[in-house]
Amino acid sequence: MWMLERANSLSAAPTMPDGSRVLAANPDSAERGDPWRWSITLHTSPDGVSTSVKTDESFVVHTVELLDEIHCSTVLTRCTGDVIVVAVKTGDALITVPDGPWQRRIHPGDSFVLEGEVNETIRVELTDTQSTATVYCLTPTRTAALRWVP
Amino acid sequence: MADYILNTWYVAAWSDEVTNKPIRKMICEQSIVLYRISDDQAKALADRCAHRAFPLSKGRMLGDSIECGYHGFIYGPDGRCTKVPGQTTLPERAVVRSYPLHEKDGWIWVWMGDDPADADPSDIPDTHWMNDPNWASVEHSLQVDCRAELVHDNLLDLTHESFLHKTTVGDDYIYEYGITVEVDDNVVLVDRLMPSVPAPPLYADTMGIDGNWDRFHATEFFVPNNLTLHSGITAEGAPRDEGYLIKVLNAITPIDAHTCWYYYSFARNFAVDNVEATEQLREGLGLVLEEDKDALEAQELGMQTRPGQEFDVLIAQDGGVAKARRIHQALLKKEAKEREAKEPRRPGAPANTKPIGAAARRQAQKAAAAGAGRSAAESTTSAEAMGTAAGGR
Ligand code: FES
Ligand SMILES: [Fe+2]
Repeated sequence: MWMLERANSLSAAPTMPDGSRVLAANPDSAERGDPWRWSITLHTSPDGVSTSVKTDESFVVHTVELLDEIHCSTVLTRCTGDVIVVAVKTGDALITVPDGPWQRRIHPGDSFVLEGEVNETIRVELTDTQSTATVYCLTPTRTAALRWVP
Repeated sequence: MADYILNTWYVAAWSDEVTNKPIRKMICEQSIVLYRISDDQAKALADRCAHRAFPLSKGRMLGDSIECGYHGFIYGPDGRCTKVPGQTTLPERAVVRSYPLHEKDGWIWVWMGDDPADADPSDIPDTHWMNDPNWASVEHSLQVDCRAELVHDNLLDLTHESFLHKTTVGDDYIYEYGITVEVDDNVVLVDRLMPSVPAPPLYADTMGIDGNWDRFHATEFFVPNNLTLHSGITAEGAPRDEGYLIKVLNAITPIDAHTCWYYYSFARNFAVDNVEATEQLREGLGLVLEEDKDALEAQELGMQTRPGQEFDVLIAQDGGVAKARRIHQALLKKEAKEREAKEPRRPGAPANTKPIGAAARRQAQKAAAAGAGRSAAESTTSAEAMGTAAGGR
Protein backbone atom coordinates (compact mmCIF):
# COMPACT_ATOMS: atom_id res chain seq x y z
CA MET A 1 0.00 0.00 0.00
CA TRP A 2 1.11 3.50 -0.75
CA MET A 3 -0.22 6.39 1.26
CA LEU A 4 0.17 10.02 0.33
CA GLU A 5 -1.25 12.26 2.98
CA ARG A 6 -1.32 15.96 2.28
CA ALA A 7 -0.45 18.48 4.98
CA ASN A 8 -4.03 19.79 4.96
CA SER A 9 -5.61 16.35 5.43
CA LEU A 10 -8.33 16.35 8.08
CA SER A 11 -7.03 12.98 9.25
CA ALA A 12 -3.56 14.35 9.90
CA ALA A 13 -2.35 14.45 13.49
CA PRO A 14 -2.75 17.86 15.13
CA THR A 15 0.17 20.26 15.43
CA MET A 16 1.46 20.45 19.00
CA PRO A 17 2.12 23.79 20.75
CA ASP A 18 5.86 23.35 20.09
CA GLY A 19 5.21 23.24 16.34
CA SER A 20 5.69 19.50 15.97
CA ARG A 21 3.30 17.15 14.23
CA VAL A 22 3.39 13.38 13.76
CA LEU A 23 3.58 12.82 10.01
CA ALA A 24 3.13 9.05 10.10
CA ALA A 25 3.11 6.46 12.83
CA ASN A 26 2.29 2.90 13.71
CA PRO A 27 0.26 2.25 15.70
CA ASP A 28 -1.21 5.64 16.37
CA SER A 29 -4.47 4.53 17.89
CA ALA A 30 -5.14 2.65 21.09
CA GLU A 31 -7.04 -0.26 19.61
CA ARG A 32 -4.61 -1.15 16.81
CA GLY A 33 -2.26 -3.13 19.02
CA ASP A 34 0.64 -3.95 16.66
CA PRO A 35 3.88 -4.30 18.64
CA TRP A 36 6.11 -2.63 16.03
CA ARG A 37 5.99 0.96 17.08
CA TRP A 38 7.43 3.82 15.09
CA SER A 39 6.63 7.44 14.43
CA ILE A 40 8.03 10.18 12.26
CA THR A 41 7.58 13.75 13.39
CA LEU A 42 7.80 17.03 11.54
CA HIS A 43 9.19 19.96 13.54
CA THR A 44 8.52 23.50 12.43
CA SER A 45 10.45 26.36 14.01
CA PRO A 46 11.63 29.81 12.95
CA ASP A 47 14.84 28.10 11.79
CA GLY A 48 12.97 25.91 9.36
CA VAL A 49 11.53 22.44 9.07
CA SER A 50 13.12 19.22 10.27
CA THR A 51 11.97 15.65 10.82
CA SER A 52 12.79 13.01 13.38
CA VAL A 53 12.08 9.32 13.86
CA LYS A 54 11.28 7.29 16.95
CA THR A 55 11.18 3.50 16.98
CA ASP A 56 10.92 0.71 19.48
CA GLU A 57 14.27 -0.82 18.55
CA SER A 58 13.36 -4.26 19.76
CA PHE A 59 10.87 -4.43 16.87
CA VAL A 60 12.00 -1.88 14.29
CA VAL A 61 15.37 -0.59 13.16
CA HIS A 62 15.75 2.29 10.77
CA THR A 63 18.06 4.16 8.42
CA VAL A 64 17.83 7.83 7.45
CA GLU A 65 18.95 9.33 4.18
CA LEU A 66 18.96 13.02 3.45
CA LEU A 67 18.37 13.91 -0.17
CA ASP A 68 19.83 17.24 -1.28
CA GLU A 69 21.20 18.70 -4.50
CA ILE A 70 23.80 15.93 -4.81
CA HIS A 71 20.94 13.48 -5.19
CA CYS A 72 18.79 15.47 -7.57
CA SER A 73 17.20 12.21 -8.67
CA THR A 74 17.28 9.07 -6.56
CA VAL A 75 15.92 5.61 -7.16
CA LEU A 76 14.64 4.12 -3.92
CA THR A 77 14.16 0.41 -3.59
CA ARG A 78 11.96 -0.73 -0.79
CA CYS A 79 12.99 -4.23 0.25
CA THR A 80 10.42 -6.90 1.07
CA GLY A 81 8.62 -6.07 4.29
CA ASP A 82 10.25 -2.68 4.89
CA VAL A 83 8.39 0.59 5.21
CA ILE A 84 9.72 3.73 3.53
CA VAL A 85 8.60 7.21 4.52
CA VAL A 86 9.50 10.22 2.39
CA ALA A 87 9.13 13.73 3.82
CA VAL A 88 10.16 16.99 2.17
CA LYS A 89 12.01 19.52 4.33
CA THR A 90 12.36 22.39 1.87
CA GLY A 91 11.12 23.05 -1.65
CA ASP A 92 9.38 20.09 -3.20
CA ALA A 93 10.01 16.67 -4.68
CA LEU A 94 8.48 14.68 -7.48
CA ILE A 95 7.70 11.02 -6.83
CA THR A 96 7.48 8.87 -9.95
CA VAL A 97 7.31 5.17 -10.73
CA PRO A 98 9.91 3.87 -13.18
CA ASP A 99 7.44 1.82 -15.22
CA GLY A 100 4.29 3.92 -15.17
CA PRO A 101 2.75 7.30 -15.61
CA TRP A 102 1.93 7.80 -11.92
CA GLN A 103 3.59 10.82 -10.38
CA ARG A 104 2.94 13.20 -7.53
CA ARG A 105 4.68 16.30 -6.25
CA ILE A 106 5.08 16.46 -2.48
CA HIS A 107 5.74 19.44 -0.25
CA PRO A 108 6.79 20.07 3.36
CA GLY A 109 4.10 18.68 5.66
CA ASP A 110 3.02 15.97 3.21
CA SER A 111 4.02 12.39 3.91
CA PHE A 112 4.48 9.54 1.50
CA VAL A 113 4.59 6.03 2.94
CA LEU A 114 5.22 2.80 1.05
CA GLU A 115 4.73 -0.62 2.56
CA GLY A 116 4.15 -4.15 1.34
CA GLU A 117 5.40 -7.68 1.15
CA VAL A 118 7.12 -7.50 -2.23
CA ASN A 119 9.94 -5.14 -3.03
CA GLU A 120 9.40 -2.19 -5.31
CA THR A 121 11.12 0.87 -6.71
CA ILE A 122 10.23 4.55 -6.91
CA ARG A 123 12.14 7.61 -8.01
CA VAL A 124 12.38 10.82 -5.99
CA GLU A 125 13.42 13.92 -7.92
CA LEU A 126 14.15 17.18 -6.15
CA THR A 127 12.67 20.09 -8.01
CA ASP A 128 15.61 22.47 -7.57
CA THR A 129 18.86 22.93 -5.64
CA GLN A 130 16.97 24.44 -2.69
CA SER A 131 14.90 21.31 -2.17
CA THR A 132 15.74 18.70 0.44
CA ALA A 133 13.92 15.58 1.55
CA THR A 134 14.40 12.89 4.16
CA VAL A 135 13.88 9.21 3.50
CA TYR A 136 13.33 6.86 6.42
CA CYS A 137 13.55 3.13 5.90
CA LEU A 138 12.08 1.00 8.68
CA THR A 139 12.94 -2.69 8.93
CA PRO A 140 11.31 -5.23 11.25
CA THR A 141 13.56 -7.24 13.55
CA ARG A 142 11.22 -10.08 14.51
CA THR A 143 8.88 -10.55 11.59
CA ALA A 144 9.21 -10.85 7.84
CA ALA A 145 7.17 -7.77 7.00
CA LEU A 146 6.27 -4.57 8.73
CA ARG A 147 2.69 -4.19 7.54
CA TRP A 148 1.18 -0.80 8.18
CA VAL A 149 -2.30 0.47 8.82
CA PRO A 150 -2.38 4.23 9.25
CA MET B 1 -29.46 11.03 19.39
CA ALA B 2 -26.41 9.51 17.79
CA ASP B 3 -23.63 11.73 16.49
CA TYR B 4 -24.03 12.90 12.91
CA ILE B 5 -22.05 15.29 10.79
CA LEU B 6 -24.67 17.90 9.96
CA ASN B 7 -22.74 20.63 8.16
CA THR B 8 -23.10 18.96 4.81
CA TRP B 9 -25.50 18.27 1.95
CA TYR B 10 -27.23 14.89 2.07
CA VAL B 11 -29.20 13.32 -0.76
CA ALA B 12 -32.77 13.33 0.49
CA ALA B 13 -34.64 11.93 -2.52
CA TRP B 14 -34.71 11.40 -6.27
CA SER B 15 -36.06 14.42 -8.12
CA ASP B 16 -39.00 12.44 -9.45
CA GLU B 17 -40.05 11.28 -5.98
CA VAL B 18 -40.85 14.85 -5.03
CA THR B 19 -44.14 16.19 -6.37
CA ASN B 20 -46.90 18.44 -5.11
CA LYS B 21 -47.90 15.61 -2.79
CA PRO B 22 -45.77 15.95 0.37
CA ILE B 23 -43.51 13.04 1.31
CA ARG B 24 -41.64 12.32 4.51
CA LYS B 25 -37.93 11.50 4.76
CA MET B 26 -35.86 10.87 7.85
CA ILE B 27 -32.28 12.15 7.74
CA CYS B 28 -29.94 11.98 10.73
CA GLU B 29 -32.98 11.40 12.95
CA GLN B 30 -34.64 14.58 11.69
CA SER B 31 -37.94 14.12 9.90
CA ILE B 32 -38.32 16.28 6.82
CA VAL B 33 -41.26 16.89 4.51
CA LEU B 34 -40.44 17.37 0.82
CA TYR B 35 -42.81 18.80 -1.77
CA ARG B 36 -42.93 21.03 -4.83
CA ILE B 37 -44.57 24.43 -5.15
CA SER B 38 -46.21 25.80 -8.28
CA ASP B 39 -43.01 26.95 -10.01
CA ASP B 40 -41.73 23.38 -9.60
CA GLN B 41 -39.22 24.32 -6.91
CA ALA B 42 -38.71 21.61 -4.33
CA LYS B 43 -38.98 22.58 -0.66
CA ALA B 44 -37.85 20.92 2.58
CA LEU B 45 -39.43 21.72 5.94
CA ALA B 46 -39.28 20.02 9.30
CA ASP B 47 -42.03 17.40 9.15
CA ARG B 48 -43.52 18.43 12.48
CA CYS B 49 -46.23 20.99 12.91
CA ALA B 50 -45.25 23.71 15.37
CA HIS B 51 -48.67 23.41 17.00
CA ARG B 52 -48.52 19.88 18.34
CA ALA B 53 -45.95 17.98 16.26
CA PHE B 54 -48.28 16.26 13.80
CA PRO B 55 -46.35 15.35 10.60
CA LEU B 56 -46.97 17.94 7.89
CA SER B 57 -46.44 15.20 5.32
CA LYS B 58 -49.86 13.92 6.36
CA GLY B 59 -51.38 17.28 5.47
CA ARG B 60 -52.32 18.69 2.07
CA MET B 61 -51.08 21.34 -0.31
CA LEU B 62 -53.07 24.55 -0.68
CA GLY B 63 -51.36 26.35 -3.55
CA ASP B 64 -47.77 26.80 -2.42
CA SER B 65 -48.66 26.27 1.24
CA ILE B 66 -49.03 23.15 3.28
CA GLU B 67 -51.95 22.66 5.65
CA CYS B 68 -51.49 20.51 8.73
CA GLY B 69 -53.92 17.60 8.66
CA TYR B 70 -54.63 17.75 12.40
CA HIS B 71 -55.84 21.29 13.33
CA GLY B 72 -55.31 23.19 10.10
CA PHE B 73 -52.28 25.44 10.73
CA ILE B 74 -51.05 26.60 7.32
CA TYR B 75 -47.36 27.09 6.50
CA GLY B 76 -45.78 28.93 3.58
CA PRO B 77 -42.78 27.53 1.70
CA ASP B 78 -40.43 29.38 4.07
CA GLY B 79 -41.84 27.45 7.05
CA ARG B 80 -43.70 30.43 8.55
CA CYS B 81 -47.24 29.85 9.69
CA THR B 82 -49.59 32.05 7.68
CA LYS B 83 -52.91 30.99 9.13
CA VAL B 84 -54.25 29.60 12.39
CA PRO B 85 -57.90 28.55 12.16
CA GLY B 86 -60.24 30.58 14.35
CA GLN B 87 -57.92 33.51 15.11
CA THR B 88 -56.22 36.32 13.27
CA THR B 89 -53.10 36.65 15.40
CA LEU B 90 -50.29 34.24 14.60
CA PRO B 91 -48.20 32.93 17.49
CA GLU B 92 -44.62 34.10 17.05
CA ARG B 93 -43.25 30.62 17.45
CA ALA B 94 -45.56 29.13 14.87
CA VAL B 95 -42.79 28.41 12.41
CA VAL B 96 -41.18 25.18 11.28
CA ARG B 97 -37.56 24.81 10.26
CA SER B 98 -36.86 25.27 6.59
CA TYR B 99 -33.87 23.37 5.19
CA PRO B 100 -31.71 24.70 2.34
CA LEU B 101 -32.33 22.49 -0.68
CA HIS B 102 -30.52 22.05 -3.97
CA GLU B 103 -31.65 19.96 -6.91
CA LYS B 104 -29.10 18.67 -9.39
CA ASP B 105 -28.87 15.90 -11.99
CA GLY B 106 -31.81 13.99 -10.54
CA TRP B 107 -31.03 14.20 -6.86
CA ILE B 108 -32.51 16.45 -4.18
CA TRP B 109 -29.86 17.55 -1.69
CA VAL B 110 -30.74 18.97 1.72
CA TRP B 111 -28.36 20.93 3.98
CA MET B 112 -28.65 19.63 7.54
CA GLY B 113 -26.40 22.16 9.29
CA ASP B 114 -27.73 24.70 11.77
CA ASP B 115 -26.70 27.77 9.82
CA PRO B 116 -28.29 28.11 6.36
CA ALA B 117 -25.62 30.69 5.49
CA ASP B 118 -23.09 27.83 5.40
CA ALA B 119 -25.07 25.95 2.76
CA ASP B 120 -23.03 26.34 -0.40
CA PRO B 121 -24.28 24.22 -3.34
CA SER B 122 -20.82 24.31 -4.88
CA ASP B 123 -19.78 21.89 -2.11
CA ILE B 124 -21.92 19.19 -3.71
CA PRO B 125 -19.72 16.75 -5.65
CA ASP B 126 -19.92 16.38 -9.42
CA THR B 127 -22.87 14.19 -10.43
CA HIS B 128 -23.28 15.24 -14.07
CA TRP B 129 -22.78 11.69 -15.40
CA MET B 130 -26.36 10.92 -14.36
CA ASN B 131 -27.55 13.55 -16.75
CA ASP B 132 -25.10 13.59 -19.65
CA PRO B 133 -26.12 12.29 -23.11
CA ASN B 134 -22.62 10.86 -23.59
CA TRP B 135 -23.19 8.53 -20.67
CA ALA B 136 -25.87 5.90 -20.04
CA SER B 137 -26.84 5.36 -16.45
CA VAL B 138 -28.92 3.01 -14.34
CA GLU B 139 -30.16 3.97 -10.92
CA HIS B 140 -31.08 2.18 -7.74
CA SER B 141 -31.81 3.15 -4.18
CA LEU B 142 -32.31 1.03 -1.14
CA GLN B 143 -32.72 1.32 2.56
CA VAL B 144 -30.00 -0.62 4.33
CA ASP B 145 -30.37 -1.57 7.98
CA CYS B 146 -26.84 -0.71 8.94
CA ARG B 147 -24.94 2.36 10.09
CA ALA B 148 -23.84 4.55 7.18
CA GLU B 149 -20.17 4.01 8.03
CA LEU B 150 -20.37 0.34 7.07
CA VAL B 151 -21.39 1.32 3.54
CA HIS B 152 -18.46 3.75 3.37
CA ASP B 153 -16.06 0.98 4.40
CA ASN B 154 -17.63 -1.36 1.85
CA LEU B 155 -17.01 1.07 -1.00
CA LEU B 156 -13.50 2.01 0.10
CA ASP B 157 -12.37 -1.58 0.21
CA LEU B 158 -13.43 -3.27 -3.02
CA THR B 159 -11.51 -6.46 -2.29
CA HIS B 160 -14.89 -7.71 -1.11
CA GLU B 161 -15.83 -8.14 -4.77
CA SER B 162 -13.67 -11.27 -4.91
CA PHE B 163 -15.68 -12.92 -2.13
CA LEU B 164 -19.08 -11.35 -1.63
CA HIS B 165 -19.75 -10.86 -5.33
CA LYS B 166 -18.01 -14.05 -6.45
CA THR B 167 -20.90 -15.09 -8.67
CA THR B 168 -21.86 -11.64 -9.95
CA VAL B 169 -19.08 -9.11 -10.56
CA GLY B 170 -16.24 -10.68 -8.58
CA ASP B 171 -12.81 -11.42 -9.94
CA ASP B 172 -10.37 -13.50 -7.95
CA TYR B 173 -7.42 -11.24 -8.53
CA ILE B 174 -8.59 -7.89 -7.13
CA TYR B 175 -6.98 -8.18 -3.71
CA GLU B 176 -3.69 -9.22 -5.25
CA TYR B 177 -3.04 -5.67 -6.44
CA GLY B 178 -1.84 -2.98 -4.07
CA ILE B 179 -3.64 0.26 -3.48
CA THR B 180 -2.53 3.84 -3.46
CA VAL B 181 -4.35 5.95 -0.89
CA GLU B 182 -4.35 9.73 -1.10
CA VAL B 183 -5.75 12.00 1.55
CA ASP B 184 -6.38 15.67 0.94
CA ASP B 185 -8.59 17.80 3.18
CA ASN B 186 -11.79 15.71 3.67
CA VAL B 187 -11.28 13.53 0.58
CA VAL B 188 -9.86 10.02 0.62
CA LEU B 189 -8.97 8.37 -2.67
CA VAL B 190 -8.27 4.64 -2.83
CA ASP B 191 -6.88 3.69 -6.21
CA ARG B 192 -6.17 0.21 -7.49
CA LEU B 193 -4.57 -0.45 -10.86
CA MET B 194 -4.81 -3.97 -12.24
CA PRO B 195 -2.54 -3.91 -15.27
CA SER B 196 -2.87 -6.29 -18.17
CA VAL B 197 -5.90 -8.35 -17.18
CA PRO B 198 -8.66 -9.76 -19.39
CA ALA B 199 -11.52 -7.33 -20.02
CA PRO B 200 -14.32 -8.07 -17.54
CA PRO B 201 -17.49 -9.47 -19.18
CA LEU B 202 -19.41 -6.17 -19.13
CA TYR B 203 -16.85 -4.54 -21.42
CA ALA B 204 -16.08 -7.67 -23.45
CA ASP B 205 -19.72 -8.43 -24.19
CA THR B 206 -20.93 -4.92 -24.99
CA MET B 207 -17.86 -3.79 -26.93
CA GLY B 208 -16.92 -7.10 -28.54
CA ILE B 209 -13.34 -6.85 -27.27
CA ASP B 210 -10.90 -9.41 -25.94
CA GLY B 211 -7.25 -9.60 -24.93
CA ASN B 212 -5.64 -7.87 -22.00
CA TRP B 213 -6.38 -4.39 -20.72
CA ASP B 214 -5.34 -2.18 -17.86
CA ARG B 215 -8.19 -2.16 -15.38
CA PHE B 216 -8.57 0.32 -12.54
CA HIS B 217 -10.95 1.38 -9.87
CA ALA B 218 -10.61 4.37 -7.64
CA THR B 219 -13.03 5.25 -4.87
CA GLU B 220 -13.11 8.94 -4.07
CA PHE B 221 -14.78 9.47 -0.72
CA PHE B 222 -15.96 12.96 0.08
CA VAL B 223 -16.27 12.35 3.80
CA PRO B 224 -18.87 12.06 5.30
CA ASN B 225 -21.41 10.95 2.72
CA ASN B 226 -20.56 10.73 -0.97
CA LEU B 227 -18.39 8.20 -2.71
CA THR B 228 -17.66 8.34 -6.40
CA LEU B 229 -16.19 5.21 -7.89
CA HIS B 230 -14.15 5.91 -11.02
CA SER B 231 -13.44 2.68 -12.82
CA GLY B 232 -12.72 1.41 -16.27
CA ILE B 233 -10.36 -0.33 -18.64
CA THR B 234 -7.83 1.20 -21.00
CA ALA B 235 -5.51 -0.17 -23.65
CA GLU B 236 -2.33 -1.19 -21.85
CA GLY B 237 -0.40 1.91 -20.79
CA ALA B 238 -2.97 4.32 -22.22
CA PRO B 239 -4.26 7.34 -20.29
CA ARG B 240 -7.35 6.71 -18.20
CA ASP B 241 -9.55 9.27 -19.87
CA GLU B 242 -9.20 7.35 -23.14
CA GLY B 243 -10.72 4.20 -21.68
CA TYR B 244 -14.12 2.60 -21.43
CA LEU B 245 -15.19 4.29 -18.26
CA ILE B 246 -17.70 3.80 -15.47
CA LYS B 247 -18.69 6.35 -12.83
CA VAL B 248 -20.63 5.00 -9.89
CA LEU B 249 -22.16 7.64 -7.64
CA ASN B 250 -22.96 6.48 -4.13
CA ALA B 251 -24.72 8.89 -1.79
CA ILE B 252 -25.14 7.49 1.69
CA THR B 253 -27.64 9.28 3.90
CA PRO B 254 -27.97 8.26 7.56
CA ILE B 255 -31.53 7.69 8.72
CA ASP B 256 -30.56 6.86 12.28
CA ALA B 257 -27.69 5.16 14.09
CA HIS B 258 -28.47 1.77 12.54
CA THR B 259 -30.15 2.56 9.21
CA CYS B 260 -29.28 4.50 6.09
CA TRP B 261 -30.39 5.28 2.55
CA TYR B 262 -28.16 4.22 -0.28
CA TYR B 263 -28.65 6.24 -3.50
CA TYR B 264 -26.82 4.75 -6.44
CA SER B 265 -26.16 5.69 -10.05
CA PHE B 266 -23.99 3.66 -12.40
CA ALA B 267 -23.01 5.51 -15.58
CA ARG B 268 -20.90 4.23 -18.49
CA ASN B 269 -19.42 5.99 -21.51
CA PHE B 270 -19.53 2.95 -23.80
CA ALA B 271 -22.40 1.10 -25.50
CA VAL B 272 -24.45 4.12 -24.49
CA ASP B 273 -27.26 3.35 -26.95
CA ASN B 274 -27.35 -0.35 -26.15
CA VAL B 275 -30.74 -0.51 -24.46
CA GLU B 276 -30.49 -4.23 -23.85
CA ALA B 277 -27.16 -3.78 -22.05
CA THR B 278 -28.72 -1.06 -19.91
CA GLU B 279 -31.58 -3.32 -18.91
CA GLN B 280 -29.25 -6.21 -18.15
CA LEU B 281 -27.12 -3.90 -16.06
CA ARG B 282 -30.13 -2.62 -14.18
CA GLU B 283 -31.01 -6.16 -13.19
CA GLY B 284 -27.44 -7.33 -12.58
CA LEU B 285 -26.47 -4.34 -10.47
CA GLY B 286 -29.67 -4.71 -8.50
CA LEU B 287 -28.51 -8.21 -7.53
CA VAL B 288 -25.05 -6.94 -6.59
CA LEU B 289 -26.59 -4.29 -4.37
CA GLU B 290 -28.78 -6.91 -2.70
CA GLU B 291 -25.62 -8.91 -1.96
CA ASP B 292 -24.10 -5.82 -0.36
CA LYS B 293 -27.27 -5.08 1.60
CA ASP B 294 -27.43 -8.63 3.00
CA ALA B 295 -23.79 -8.49 4.03
CA LEU B 296 -24.02 -5.01 5.55
CA GLU B 297 -27.10 -5.89 7.58
CA ALA B 298 -25.43 -9.05 8.86
CA GLN B 299 -22.33 -7.02 9.68
CA GLU B 300 -24.44 -4.46 11.56
CA LEU B 301 -25.79 -7.24 13.77
CA GLY B 302 -22.21 -8.41 14.30
CA MET B 303 -21.24 -4.89 15.36
CA GLN B 304 -24.16 -4.58 17.73
CA THR B 305 -23.35 -7.83 19.51
CA ARG B 306 -19.57 -7.42 19.55
CA PRO B 307 -18.08 -6.93 23.04
CA GLY B 308 -16.84 -3.39 23.67
CA GLN B 309 -13.21 -4.40 24.05
CA GLU B 310 -13.05 -5.97 20.58
CA PHE B 311 -12.08 -3.82 17.62
CA ASP B 312 -11.81 -4.23 13.86
CA VAL B 313 -8.53 -5.85 12.82
CA LEU B 314 -7.63 -3.48 10.03
CA ILE B 315 -5.06 -4.54 7.44
CA ALA B 316 -3.04 -2.59 4.89
CA GLN B 317 -5.89 -2.92 2.35
CA ASP B 318 -7.95 -0.89 4.82
CA GLY B 319 -5.61 2.10 4.66
CA GLY B 320 -8.34 4.27 3.11
CA VAL B 321 -10.92 3.02 5.60
CA ALA B 322 -8.64 3.98 8.50
CA LYS B 323 -8.06 7.47 7.13
CA ALA B 324 -11.74 8.07 6.36
CA ARG B 325 -12.69 7.11 9.92
CA ARG B 326 -10.21 9.65 11.26
CA ILE B 327 -11.65 12.38 9.05
CA HIS B 328 -15.15 11.44 10.17
CA GLN B 329 -14.09 11.75 13.81
CA ALA B 330 -12.33 15.05 13.14
CA LEU B 331 -15.45 16.49 11.51
CA LEU B 332 -17.67 15.34 14.37
CA LYS B 333 -15.31 16.90 16.88
CA LYS B 334 -15.18 20.16 14.95
CA GLU B 335 -18.96 20.43 14.84
CA ALA B 336 -19.30 19.60 18.53
CA LYS B 337 -16.82 22.37 19.34
CA GLU B 338 -18.65 24.87 17.15
CA ARG B 339 -21.98 24.01 18.74
CA GLU B 340 -20.49 24.34 22.18
CA ALA B 341 -19.04 27.74 21.33
CA LYS B 342 -22.47 28.93 20.19
CA GLU B 343 -24.33 27.64 23.25
CA PRO B 344 -25.08 30.64 25.50
CA ARG B 345 -23.70 30.31 29.01
CA ARG B 346 -25.34 31.83 32.06
CA PRO B 347 -22.96 33.65 34.39
CA GLY B 348 -22.14 31.52 37.38
CA ALA B 349 -23.45 28.36 35.80
CA PRO B 350 -21.16 25.36 35.72
CA ALA B 351 -19.79 24.24 32.42
CA ASN B 352 -22.28 22.43 30.27
CA THR B 353 -19.88 20.18 28.43
CA LYS B 354 -22.67 18.38 26.63
CA PRO B 355 -25.17 20.98 25.45
CA ILE B 356 -27.95 18.66 24.48
CA GLY B 357 -31.06 20.68 24.95
CA ALA B 358 -33.54 21.34 27.67
CA ALA B 359 -32.74 18.36 29.91
CA ALA B 360 -29.08 19.29 30.06
CA ARG B 361 -29.94 22.92 30.73
CA ARG B 362 -32.26 21.99 33.59
CA GLN B 363 -29.53 19.84 35.08
CA ALA B 364 -27.03 22.68 34.80
CA GLN B 365 -29.48 25.06 36.45
CA LYS B 366 -30.02 22.65 39.32
CA ALA B 367 -26.30 22.26 39.84
CA ALA B 368 -25.87 26.05 39.83
CA ALA B 369 -28.70 26.46 42.33
CA ALA B 370 -27.02 23.88 44.58
CA GLY B 371 -24.31 26.51 44.99
CA ALA B 372 -21.40 24.83 43.35
CA GLY B 373 -20.13 28.39 43.14
CA ARG B 374 -17.79 27.81 40.24
CA SER B 375 -17.19 30.85 38.15
CA ALA B 376 -17.90 30.96 34.46
CA ALA B 377 -14.16 31.28 34.00
CA GLU B 378 -13.80 27.71 35.16
CA SER B 379 -15.87 26.54 32.25
CA THR B 380 -14.27 23.62 30.55
CA THR B 381 -14.53 22.65 26.97
CA SER B 382 -14.85 19.08 25.80
CA ALA B 383 -14.18 18.34 23.48
CA GLU B 384 -4.04 15.90 -7.59
CA ALA B 385 -6.62 15.41 -9.33
CA MET B 386 -7.76 11.84 -9.90
CA GLY B 387 -5.04 9.60 -11.23
CA THR B 388 -3.69 12.64 -13.20
CA ALA B 389 -5.96 11.30 -15.91
CA ALA B 390 -2.98 9.21 -16.86
CA GLY B 391 -3.60 6.17 -14.79
CA GLY B 392 -2.50 5.04 -11.38
CA ARG B 393 0.64 3.15 -10.80
S1 FES C 1 -12.95 -11.22 6.26
FE1 FES C 1 -13.83 -9.27 6.47
S2 FES C 1 -15.40 -9.57 7.89
FE2 FES C 1 -14.45 -11.48 7.78
FE1 LIG D 1 -20.20 -4.59 -3.10
